[in-house]
Amino acid sequence: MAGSQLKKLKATLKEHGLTGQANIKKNKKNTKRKATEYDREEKVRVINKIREQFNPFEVKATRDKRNEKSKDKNNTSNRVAVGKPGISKQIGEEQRKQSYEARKLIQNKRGGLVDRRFGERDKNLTEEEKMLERFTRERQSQSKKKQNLYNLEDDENVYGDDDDINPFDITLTHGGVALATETGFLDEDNGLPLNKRAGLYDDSADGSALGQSGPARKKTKTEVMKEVIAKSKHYKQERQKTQAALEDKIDDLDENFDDIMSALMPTQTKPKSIQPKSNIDIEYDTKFRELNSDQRAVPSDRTKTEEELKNEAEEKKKKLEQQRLDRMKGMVENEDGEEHGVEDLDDGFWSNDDENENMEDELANSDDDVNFDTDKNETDADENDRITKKVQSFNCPTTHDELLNVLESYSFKEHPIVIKKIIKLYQPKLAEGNKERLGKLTGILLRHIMFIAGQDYSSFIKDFEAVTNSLVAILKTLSEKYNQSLSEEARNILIEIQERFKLHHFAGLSNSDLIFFIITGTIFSTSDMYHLVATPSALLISEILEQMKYNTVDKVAYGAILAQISLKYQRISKRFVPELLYFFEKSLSACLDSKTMKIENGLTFSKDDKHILKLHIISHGNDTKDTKFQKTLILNLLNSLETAISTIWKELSAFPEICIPIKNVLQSLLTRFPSLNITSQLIEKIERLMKFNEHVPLTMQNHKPMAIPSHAPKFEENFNPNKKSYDPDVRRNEINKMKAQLKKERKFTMKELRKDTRFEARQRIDEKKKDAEQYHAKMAHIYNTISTEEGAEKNKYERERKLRSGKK
Amino acid sequence: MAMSIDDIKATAKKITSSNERTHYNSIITLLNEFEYDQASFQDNELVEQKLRFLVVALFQIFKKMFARNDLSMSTKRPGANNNTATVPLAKFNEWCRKIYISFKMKLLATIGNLTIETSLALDCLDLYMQLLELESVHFASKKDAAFFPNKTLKALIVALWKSNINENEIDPSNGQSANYILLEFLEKYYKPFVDIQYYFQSEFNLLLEDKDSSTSTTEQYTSMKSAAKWVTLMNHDSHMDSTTEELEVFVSNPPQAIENESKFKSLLEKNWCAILNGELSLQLYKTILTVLHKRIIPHFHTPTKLMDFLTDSYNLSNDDMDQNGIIPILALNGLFELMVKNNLEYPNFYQKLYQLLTPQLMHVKYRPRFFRLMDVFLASTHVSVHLVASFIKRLARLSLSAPPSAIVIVIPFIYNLLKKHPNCMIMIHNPKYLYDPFQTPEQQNELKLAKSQYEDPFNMEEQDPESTNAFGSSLWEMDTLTQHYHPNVASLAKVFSQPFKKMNYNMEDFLDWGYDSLLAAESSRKLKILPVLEYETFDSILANETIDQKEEEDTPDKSVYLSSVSW
Repeated sequence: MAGSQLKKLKATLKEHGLTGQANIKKNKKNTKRKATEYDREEKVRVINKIREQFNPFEVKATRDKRNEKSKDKNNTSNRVAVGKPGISKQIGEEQRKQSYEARKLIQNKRGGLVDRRFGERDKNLTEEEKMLERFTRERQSQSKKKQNLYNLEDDENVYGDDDDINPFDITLTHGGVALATETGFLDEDNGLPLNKRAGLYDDSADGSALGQSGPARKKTKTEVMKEVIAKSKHYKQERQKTQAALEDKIDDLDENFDDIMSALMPTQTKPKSIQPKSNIDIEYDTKFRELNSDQRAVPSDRTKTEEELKNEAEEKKKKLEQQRLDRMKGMVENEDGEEHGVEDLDDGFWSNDDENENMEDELANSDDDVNFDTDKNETDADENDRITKKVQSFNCPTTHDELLNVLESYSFKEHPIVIKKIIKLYQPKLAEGNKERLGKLTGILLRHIMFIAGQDYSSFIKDFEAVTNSLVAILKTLSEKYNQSLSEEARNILIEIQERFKLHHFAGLSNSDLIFFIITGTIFSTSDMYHLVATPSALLISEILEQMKYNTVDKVAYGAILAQISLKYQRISKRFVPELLYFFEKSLSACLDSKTMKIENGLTFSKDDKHILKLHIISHGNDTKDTKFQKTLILNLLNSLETAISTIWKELSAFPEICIPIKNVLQSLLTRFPSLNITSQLIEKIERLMKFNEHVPLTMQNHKPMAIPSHAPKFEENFNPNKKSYDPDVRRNEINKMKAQLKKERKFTMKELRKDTRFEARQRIDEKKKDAEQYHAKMAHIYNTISTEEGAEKNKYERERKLRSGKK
Repeated sequence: MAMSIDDIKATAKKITSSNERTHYNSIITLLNEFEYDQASFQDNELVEQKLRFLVVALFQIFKKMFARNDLSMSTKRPGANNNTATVPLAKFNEWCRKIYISFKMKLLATIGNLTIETSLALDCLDLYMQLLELESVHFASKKDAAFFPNKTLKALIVALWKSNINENEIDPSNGQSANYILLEFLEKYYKPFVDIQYYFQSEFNLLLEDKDSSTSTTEQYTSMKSAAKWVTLMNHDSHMDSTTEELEVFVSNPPQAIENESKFKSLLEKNWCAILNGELSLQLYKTILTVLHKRIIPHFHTPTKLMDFLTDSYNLSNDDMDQNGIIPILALNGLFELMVKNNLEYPNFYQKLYQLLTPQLMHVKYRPRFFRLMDVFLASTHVSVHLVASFIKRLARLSLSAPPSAIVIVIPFIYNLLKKHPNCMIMIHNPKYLYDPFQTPEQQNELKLAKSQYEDPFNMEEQDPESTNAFGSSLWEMDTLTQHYHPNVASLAKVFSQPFKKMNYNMEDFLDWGYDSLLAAESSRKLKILPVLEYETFDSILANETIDQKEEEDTPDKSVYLSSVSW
């Protein structure tokens, strides 16, 4: 086929018998036969086909891959139509246009009619569904009405709430006249017609007469227009009148405003007195302000019963114990607990201080200071004042020497009171920087206790003990607040002790170091798996225990006390200290060796011999070699050995191994000192405990069998190309499906939104173009008219001039 | 008698300035002036000052005399060729040599006799060595002939060995001599100069083998003090060696003999053997053994000569000396060197090694050294399982009373051994005693019976590692160590209950810990979180004796921290 597109089209149409004269004859033959529905449909189909053929880009088509014959790519017959992009685009465009126009109509307009009929704006509902729904709703509302009909109680509600739903069509009357009409009259009195529309079409004046006379005469247009103009003028006048009246009223009100206000609020309008206040007033004011600033009475916490208090304390203890246990097991600090602790510090810091004071007061009256109080019962207050005054005169001590200078002027027994006074004077709430000062003082106090423990106090042990204990109590109280500085000081002291021990061995150690270790044990939680102060402290104790050469009674005694402290450290956590075992072996065999220790052979032990070592004898006394002390020492060693065995070692799996060397030493001790009964008791105890100890081979490697990771390639047995997923988990499968769907939808929506915006932009440009065109057209028109008018005038002028000149 | 410094200066100037020898007689007066009383040094600093000046002045004079050939043996003198002058000239030279020798004697006497530390002795040593250098030039048989004045050096050695500074003579830490003159000689002359080293060895050898003189002198050189001095001189790394190139020669033209390295080695070896056969203090013994494998054996011609010494040391049982049996541990290193390089065979080596594992081993400072070697000895996978089990068990047992630094070595060591000998895993995991909830009642009864009948077969006293029955035992000790007070040690001990997936531990990471380093690691930690406080309160920290006696019943609620110690 050749020729232009048009020729081709004509030919095709002709071929299908749609144009031309080809079938005229036929038609003439049976003119009566009307074109059936079928024919029409067929015709449409054929036309569509022709259209498709001539417009190949209208249809999007893909090659039919399944068809065997479809090897030839250009074979159009094998192409399957999958979509009509042009048409779908056009549809979309039309839809957009519709909605855009709808939107444009209501743009910049208020009100309007909103179609509230059910389902009218819902595209997803079919006509039938809409009808069904409407029907059910109607029915429901009717049934509701019926319900209300017999509901006597809710009668008033019926009228009060919505007049529209008036089931009985009740109208209120007054003297047989419906109230509604009355209101109508009232309205008319006001000059506002009841119904504007009514007025528009039925003239009330003529209407009544006309209505009675017969059918209304149709008014002419001019009449109607006149009427309308007259009416609008009338309304305008009315409006102006009311407006003027309203403005007058407002002016009146404004003028009389003060009067009205004065009538309403007589107190506020009182003229303010500028007279100076009297003294009484001022006094009153200050009192008033004071009272204002005073704390309001708040219902105090209920006094708890003793039982409750006990329970609370117990619970708190339990909680602390649980935290301690966690720490012992080496669990990481509970975040909440930690935070809680910090918060506690922040919240109650100041209030805690009050507690602190109270506690100090209590301390001052506690048993420890009873002696002090009774001594100067009367003068106590004065005495305290004296101390306070004196203390006030100097700064908070920042070094130990300064503290010593301060304390110099007091008797030894007064030291705790003086220190308490200092602490009281430098409460953190009293001045800035006091917190740091007291922190420093805490460290100094620790050093001070160590210092006095290193002095010779053998002549006044009792007083010394009381003072030291109260000092330690103060330190313990302070430690809660000034933990940081105390810990740092303690760590410094630890380093100092170690250096001294490294340089001078035993000669570098003193009783104050023992006291330091004891205080560390009482203040810090030594049962923790890891503790920043307790762990190094325990390590240092062990170092001293291991590295000392036990060849004098002094050293053994010192070691004995260290062993006691070490045992105390482990009293809860029950950890194994190998150095302790080493110490017991060494020290007890040193006791056996008469050469190095100079222990007499014939030592006899009786029941009266105590195992309590006296600290001051170890360092200060020269009588360390007397037999009594030696006896005490041996008993003390055995006592701590007993504690070690019965509290710590017996639970260890290597208990028998630990006890082998100990048993040997004990046996030889028994042969050397037959009167030492405790030795034989200990041996018996070891043997008894050994029976209980289950000593069977270990099974430490009893682990769960481990899975071997497999790396075989994944192979799907029932492969199906249509199947998107082989996930056996139905739930997960569905979730994935949903996800994919969501993604697709989102993509589609985004596309649509973009199309929308593009459309709108296009539309706006079109509009602008239109506006511009209109404007230009208008301007052109104006120019034209002006120029024509000008031309006309000019011509007129010319004519006139000609005329005049002609006249002349 | 006393001449002032100015007098000395004037006299010395007179002698040295003019070319004439007219003032030589005043040398005698100067020499006579070189007399002193040691006690006066403390009283008067001027005495020492004057003497030092005098010595230097005398040295200048003799230097001049060397330059003028006044001391030379040969009669020839440049510029004097008439025969008539030779005879008086020879006499004059003889006289000059005499006073020169007397000067040398005086220098040596100063070196040998002073018992306090003065710089005079050091001056004397310096001057003497400079004279030695001058002698090597001027006393040579011909001009430019190679010569080393070995007699002069020998005299110095005698003097040095005679020297005895009362205090500070022996360094207590390692038993070596801390004689300051000797140290000066070592630093300034012995270490840097190869010829001095060579002739020192040969002369010292002559002294030791001196058959002619009385036996007392030989003994003198094998005494404890002598040994201390000898070790001081030898205990360094700059011995003459084919590899050490940086050594210089002291005299300008030494004989060729000093190049003979093998001769030097054999001389050194002979001297060492003589010293080792003599008396040794315990400290010195330890010092020798610690440096043996590095500083002694390489310089020996035939190291096998040390074999007897080492095996004797190794076989020293613990009872022989109360030094915690350190000697065998130290000897092990040298012995190992010999075994590796010289095919030394040692019978029952492992048995002996096993016996070295004593409780003391855990507390001595040579512990890392021992474990390093033991790591090598037990590296073989061909040793018997029983032997390995014995070693493991014994080490575990010893760790029960060991410091953390030793435990920290033992745990990875045992872990590595278990890794290498998986058969020994039965010591930490015996499946026979495993409880299984799916067991039948009969099996459970059997298990119960086996548990009740079990008895540890390990014999700690047995000396032979093959027959200790350690294989049937179990490492309860390691299980116990998981309860160690030090958190790091405890967690390290927990490896035995974890799956054995870890590769071998690198022993070097664990060998050199100590209390110091552990505490240093602790103290270097920052206070990030506040240390937790003890919530328990104690009424008193120590027991109150008065309360304890009387009112024990009255105050039961008084809590006491340390109840068995009172103030």
